[in-house]
Amino acid sequence: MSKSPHLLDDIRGIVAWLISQIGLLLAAGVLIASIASLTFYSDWQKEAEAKAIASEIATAIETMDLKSESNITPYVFPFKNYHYNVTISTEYVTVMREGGTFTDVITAREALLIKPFIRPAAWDLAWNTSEELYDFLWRTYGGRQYAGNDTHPFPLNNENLVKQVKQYFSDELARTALQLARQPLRIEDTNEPIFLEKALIYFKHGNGDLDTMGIVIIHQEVPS
Amino acid sequence: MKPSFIGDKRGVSEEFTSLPALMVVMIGFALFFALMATTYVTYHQKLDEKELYEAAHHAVLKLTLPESPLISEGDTDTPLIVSASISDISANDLTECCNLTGYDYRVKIYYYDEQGEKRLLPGTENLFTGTHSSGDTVSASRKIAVKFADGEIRYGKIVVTVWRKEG
Repeated sequence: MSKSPHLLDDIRGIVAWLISQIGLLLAAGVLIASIASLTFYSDWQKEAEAKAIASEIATAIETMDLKSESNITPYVFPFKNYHYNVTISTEYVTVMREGGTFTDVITAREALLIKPFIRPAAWDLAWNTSEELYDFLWRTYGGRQYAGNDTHPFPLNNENLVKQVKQYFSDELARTALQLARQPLRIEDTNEPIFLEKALIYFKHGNGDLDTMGIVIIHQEVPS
Repeated sequence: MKPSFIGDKRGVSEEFTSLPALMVVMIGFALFFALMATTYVTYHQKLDEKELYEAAHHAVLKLTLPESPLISEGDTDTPLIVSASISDISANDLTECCNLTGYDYRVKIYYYDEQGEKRLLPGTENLFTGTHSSGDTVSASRKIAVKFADGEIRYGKIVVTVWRKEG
């Protein structure tokens, strides 16, 4: 009986490992890696959490727009056991948190249905709260007769004045929207509340009936 | 000199067992990615619908606030009364009351006649902001009361249909 050749000396070998088995291993490896990465190593849970925070803030702002009377509500950001930042511009609420698996910062953005007047404390603005707004209107447009509040409404029969006041709000919103697009209101410390305010600007008909125009103000000034 | 196994020109047929296994894995691949793609597309469709519904819901609530140009009067029994003669309401009035960022909307007001049939209130056939809808639309509605010139009050509803602005 002849001695069988050593494995490496056996020239009758086939190269199957170089073709389908390697293909099979690669395909199975990629498939398992895809499932594992999507399930265990992706940031979808963290993204969903950030999205939920952004959505909650946006809903609070939009709900303020649906109030039919003047209102001021402190908004306290949701408490989380990790740090997150919030930026608010006229059109978006953005939540950013650290700790992503593949990216340093996880960002979630929620579009706002309305355009609020955002008054960052760091900006030197003519008014921040509704009280300051009425005072501003009293001095600037009302000729110290009309403030746009319920006691000193703007007269609707003075069409020029009403047009000027409405134009002011439109221009001010556009101006701050542009500035906020470049430099949004950034809330670093989410333990500090922001204040959501519904302000009504009153206009008086000749017969004494009142019309109102509602605006939403977001500011950081603690009301007195 | 022995020929190298790479230089061996004698072909052999592939082992049969690995090919079906490769096929099973490839089918698994296809199924997995088809499932992921379907989930992704469905999720985004639902998200889109939810956003449109939120916009419609916000608009219908805003347009039924007391300061809305559509609401003429109200009392504690029937807080939301729409005057039947609102043909002078324009798209500009709607925008002043409720300007949704990124969306346009159409408002229709219906009332129920003596036979209980739903009828469109005259003057609200073409009440919409922006341009006509060109994509997906979602509607939200709210019950209201419609007051006619003779003082008769009929119950109806306001329907707001929202779509995304073009461009």
